[in-house]
Amino acid sequence: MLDRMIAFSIHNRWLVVFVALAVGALGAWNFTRLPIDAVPDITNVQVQVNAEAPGYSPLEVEQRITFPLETAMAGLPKLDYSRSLSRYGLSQITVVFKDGTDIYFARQLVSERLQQARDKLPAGIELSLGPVSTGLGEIFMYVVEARPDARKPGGEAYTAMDLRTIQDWIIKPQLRTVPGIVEVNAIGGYERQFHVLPDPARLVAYRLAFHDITAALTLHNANVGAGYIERNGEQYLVRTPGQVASAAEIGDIVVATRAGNPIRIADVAEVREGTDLRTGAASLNGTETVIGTAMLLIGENSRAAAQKVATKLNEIAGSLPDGIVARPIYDRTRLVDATIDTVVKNLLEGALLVIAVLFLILGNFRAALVTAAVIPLSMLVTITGMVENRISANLMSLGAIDFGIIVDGAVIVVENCLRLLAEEQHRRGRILSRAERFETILAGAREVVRPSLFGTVIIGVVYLPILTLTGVEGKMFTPMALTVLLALGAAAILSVTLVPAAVALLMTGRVAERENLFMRAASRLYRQVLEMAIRLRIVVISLALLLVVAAGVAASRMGGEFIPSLDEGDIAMHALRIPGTSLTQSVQMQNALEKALLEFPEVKEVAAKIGTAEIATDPMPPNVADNFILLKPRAQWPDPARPKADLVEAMARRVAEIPGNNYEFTQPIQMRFNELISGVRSDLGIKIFGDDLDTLLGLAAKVQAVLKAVPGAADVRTEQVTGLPMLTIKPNRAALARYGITLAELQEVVEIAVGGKQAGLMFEGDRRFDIVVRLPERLRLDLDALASLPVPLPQQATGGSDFSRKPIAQAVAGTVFPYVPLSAVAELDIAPGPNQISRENGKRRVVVTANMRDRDLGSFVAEVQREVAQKVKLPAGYWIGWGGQFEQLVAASERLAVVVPAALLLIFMLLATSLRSVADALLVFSGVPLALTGGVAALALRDIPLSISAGVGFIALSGVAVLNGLVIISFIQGRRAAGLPVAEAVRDGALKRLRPVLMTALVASLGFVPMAIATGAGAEVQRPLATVVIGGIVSSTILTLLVLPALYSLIHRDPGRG
Amino acid sequence: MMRFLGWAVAGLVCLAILGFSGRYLQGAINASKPVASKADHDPSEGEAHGHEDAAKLTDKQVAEAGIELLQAGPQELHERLRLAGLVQPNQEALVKVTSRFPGVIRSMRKRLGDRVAKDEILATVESNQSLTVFELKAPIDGTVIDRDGTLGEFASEQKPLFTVADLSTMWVDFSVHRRDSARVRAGDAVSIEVDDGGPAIEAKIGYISPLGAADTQSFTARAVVPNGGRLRPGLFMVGRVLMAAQRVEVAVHASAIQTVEGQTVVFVRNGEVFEARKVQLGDRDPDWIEIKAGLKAGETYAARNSFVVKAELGKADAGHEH
Repeated sequence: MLDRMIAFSIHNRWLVVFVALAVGALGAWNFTRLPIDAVPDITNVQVQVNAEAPGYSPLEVEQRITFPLETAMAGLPKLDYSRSLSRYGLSQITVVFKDGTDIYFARQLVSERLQQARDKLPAGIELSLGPVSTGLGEIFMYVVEARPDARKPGGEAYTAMDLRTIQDWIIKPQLRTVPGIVEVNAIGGYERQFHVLPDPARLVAYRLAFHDITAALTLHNANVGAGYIERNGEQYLVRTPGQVASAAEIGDIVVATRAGNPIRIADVAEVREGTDLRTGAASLNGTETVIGTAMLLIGENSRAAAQKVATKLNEIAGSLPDGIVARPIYDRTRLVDATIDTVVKNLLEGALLVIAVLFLILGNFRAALVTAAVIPLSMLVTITGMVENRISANLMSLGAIDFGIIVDGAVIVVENCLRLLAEEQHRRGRILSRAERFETILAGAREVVRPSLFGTVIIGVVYLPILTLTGVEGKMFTPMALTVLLALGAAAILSVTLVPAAVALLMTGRVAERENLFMRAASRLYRQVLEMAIRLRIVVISLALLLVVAAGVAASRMGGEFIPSLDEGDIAMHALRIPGTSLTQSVQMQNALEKALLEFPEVKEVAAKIGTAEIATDPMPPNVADNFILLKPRAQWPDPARPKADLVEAMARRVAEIPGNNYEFTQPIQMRFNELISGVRSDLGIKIFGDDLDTLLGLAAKVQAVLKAVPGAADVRTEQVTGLPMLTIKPNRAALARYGITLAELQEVVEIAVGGKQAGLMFEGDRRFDIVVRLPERLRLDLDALASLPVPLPQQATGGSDFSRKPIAQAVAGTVFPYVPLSAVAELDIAPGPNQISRENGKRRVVVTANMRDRDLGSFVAEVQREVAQKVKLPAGYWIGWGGQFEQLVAASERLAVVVPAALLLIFMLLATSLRSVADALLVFSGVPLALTGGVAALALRDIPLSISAGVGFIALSGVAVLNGLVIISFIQGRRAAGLPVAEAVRDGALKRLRPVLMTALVASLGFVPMAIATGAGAEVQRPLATVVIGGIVSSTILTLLVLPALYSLIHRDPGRG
Repeated sequence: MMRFLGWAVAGLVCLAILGFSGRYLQGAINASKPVASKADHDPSEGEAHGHEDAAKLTDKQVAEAGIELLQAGPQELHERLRLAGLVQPNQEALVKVTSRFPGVIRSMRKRLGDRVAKDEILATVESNQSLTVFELKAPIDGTVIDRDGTLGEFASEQKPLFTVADLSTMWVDFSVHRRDSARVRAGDAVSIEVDDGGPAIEAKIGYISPLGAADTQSFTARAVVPNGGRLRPGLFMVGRVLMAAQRVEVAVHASAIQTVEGQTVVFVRNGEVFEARKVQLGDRDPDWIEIKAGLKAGETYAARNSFVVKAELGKADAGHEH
């Protein structure tokens, strides 16, 4: 079939060329649809449910909201697991679905369940699903600022609240319409509210209670439509507007009437614009600000969307008040462009190098061109395939593409055709006719097409184990393997169709018969070395073995990392303070921190998000701040060559001097990923499930102690769940009964007074602001004032002393003031309470995590399990779950332990059937460890640690090494079949195959050189892979050319001499 | 022989491949560990500082963080208590004018609020017994604060027709809840907020009622206040009782008190080190708190922004779990 395909291609060469061009055009069109990003998206399929419960403490949130919601989520189809977090005022349930579940389907399921659960929730709880976005979603951040001289129309300076109002009602509505943007999330400033601040003393004087005011507000602030009336053939709509429109109007609302005198709100309370009890703040360069974040819809092109947001933001500038600026601070486009630039530059330079090498070795420009044409065409086909398979173009997915390896097949075909053409021309002594030429090309292609395709299949097979990775590793590397497979497949098809056709079209004139200067020099050198290698074969083989052993030892001592992290250019830093730190305090500490960071001349700006944003995509408590340290372009640094790691270290030293903060340095995208996939990222997570938090913590402490004693355990930590100072106002039921006050009345007083209670909305066009009743700030913050907060007594208990009519005589002061202080009916107690309550799969849990050092994970986990089972006695209703990385590691190890040998066996079988000799297959195989030695050496030389990226390089390397060996051995086999003695066959075969082996090796390694030495954005991710391949191919080529012939001649004897 | 050797070599090589690839994959997977631990925190630090109760901060750091350093020492505490009060006429300077004999009111000369001089005629009544008209006179200089009678009405000797009060002094009765009974004493200064835009009126608590009110479990503390016309009977006042100044040996500023692991502490500075010192608190006023045990006079402690010291002490525990 292959032969017929080649023959067909040669005869219909024009057709083949056109089809190839059409396929290329399709690829070019698809290129415009290809999602481009910097790194692969490793977010799992998750739906976040956020429930806002203003004023609720973690315990109430858990009991009243989290539990019913979580229970409702149980048993969803394709559910992986659910986890939840109950914090002050927020319940967040993260429902994680199995990989591959359609996100909209998952959201649909979750919303259905939410509908069912809504009835079980307390009134006033706002439920929302998190935005349809991923860890790569935060593509654009901007700040809203007022110029220092900017003034409001009234002449005052702009406050953080004004900026927030501008963000919420001018900028956000416009940005949300940008295609590809799913949400605009704001943090910082204050939301504008209207506050009604009753004076408790006046309330007492008028014998009013807090709830009288909220009731009055709801009764006096509404518009009502009243249908229509018909009159003289006309239809009149009827409405009775009654909404309040200003603070003054709120003040005019009547609360009660005393002896015919109306008591208005303004008589008992101050009405003013105020701010919400916010959960988050933002700051920029040491001052408070407002930060907006545009979030990308899943599956959209981040670069395009970020560009559109930037353009829109410029347009919006026109609609902002004078002196207000919305300025981008983080734009993903920059990173993506820089990364893609690096990738494209690497690929282009690689392609040019490949073409140059081809020309140098083949000595025929047209042949080089034909071979090189495979590069763009296979790339375009690959892009089509990527679009079809929804693989985004990024550092990882494009990172393993080596044009050298891809064109290997084509190189072999072209080289052989060229060689045969030259031989044929030499034999006939004239330029060949067309028919003769086609005949020769067909023969040439036919001769090598099998080993060539075979080689491609082998390279493909070595990538298969990568496809079995799951989880985060799978999301990282599966696209990479798929892309390589696509490219290889495309190249393989091209090498049997387009390549022969193009050779037939282009190789018309005279073909140079003699090899060029370079090849002749190489041949001469090789001949001598080969002779020596065969003569000293035992020494050569021993040396090779020694090298392999040495490389093995070196590899085992190398440092390891998961994947080299992409340098995103900017720095992200968590600043962590102790739980319970107030937002105001956090902002204050943050300001000092930002000023310290700005001392660095490399730093352009420092922005920070403190606490939780409007949409709780990352529910941080107020004691945690996400800092974004934006650096100047390197050219503006005092020392442009300063390594980033050095800068980060200097920063870490500087900020460590600022007391009260703990830091974690990371990068913006990385930080977001960590937040989203979170779960338990340590090797081992021991989850203790149960009901009572104190018991759970006690058990956790025991487990922690046991764990610490197990050899190999490191970084043992217990999840922080307590430490939030809590003011508990504990009702004294006996006292309440004595005074005739109900519990609900007491709680209402506390709720309204401290937290404030929303009592309607104030409309200003589209804008709407809450009207909130609560205590004046000076009283809210004063514990003594709270203790004296008047709790009204029921009317009948006051004995009807109608002092209002006769304000004289012997009134007893006590009976005139019908209230008791709060502290008379409740106990005020400050004690640390739960900071957050985490649940998983519907049960409270506390996690003890540990990492493992210098030990085999399996035995470590087994020992810990045994020890814990022995030494920790669990009360009824408590149980322990085991999780963490180890699950995945063990699963992956087990899977790879099967898949890798299976893949190797498959290759071996392929080789054995192809060569029809187990011994020869083994010989070819021996090239693999020899190739790996070079890879290890190259890594060691450049001081790059082992990583999965490097591992992928080793995988590619094995394929190339096998391919090289195969080419030589099959040729030697051919010579021997032709009757040559072993020594002769080995010598002849090796020499004859020098050109293709050298060529495939050179193109494969040179194609990666730009990638190995690049320094642009993202280069660090590709560097290990390229380094391994280059080093490995150099060693593999030298060793294949020398050791393989030596081994062959060692194993095989001429039949005659036995 | 050579052939055998060759086979052995080939076999070894294959073993090496298998072994190496296995080892590498294992290595690469294990390699994910450092990243994972980076995502948490540097644990060694957590171990080292987990439960220490001292934090080192240089003078520069203290200044940068805005921590105020003060010395513990003797202090006068001025405790204040906010009380709701009601203005009443001074009952001791109040006279009820009643008709001596039952009769019919023939004239009512004074109206509510009229100022009257001593012996000024308030009303005339015609006695039922003698049918003569007699006069009711104001017994003191004062103001008519109540009038209960109309022309022609029968005036009994049981019911006062006028109440005349000397409003030059007023009673302001404060309602004191039982929990504060020990804190208010006769003689305490009280400043009364009239809430009419004018300054507060300074007075003294002159009397504490021996009786309580059942409904509200409170009793009356009374100040007799000279009246410049701003106090009107029936108006509510807010009084701040300044309790007898109290001198304590060791006191710290209220902002110095922090809670660490459920213990009340003050951060004491020794050299460059802040030490969390457990203390026992005594009396307090809005600014100062008496330290009964744990702190000696003359020791330097963190006052304003003392939270930063607490944060520094506990920062090893500061984490960010999701």
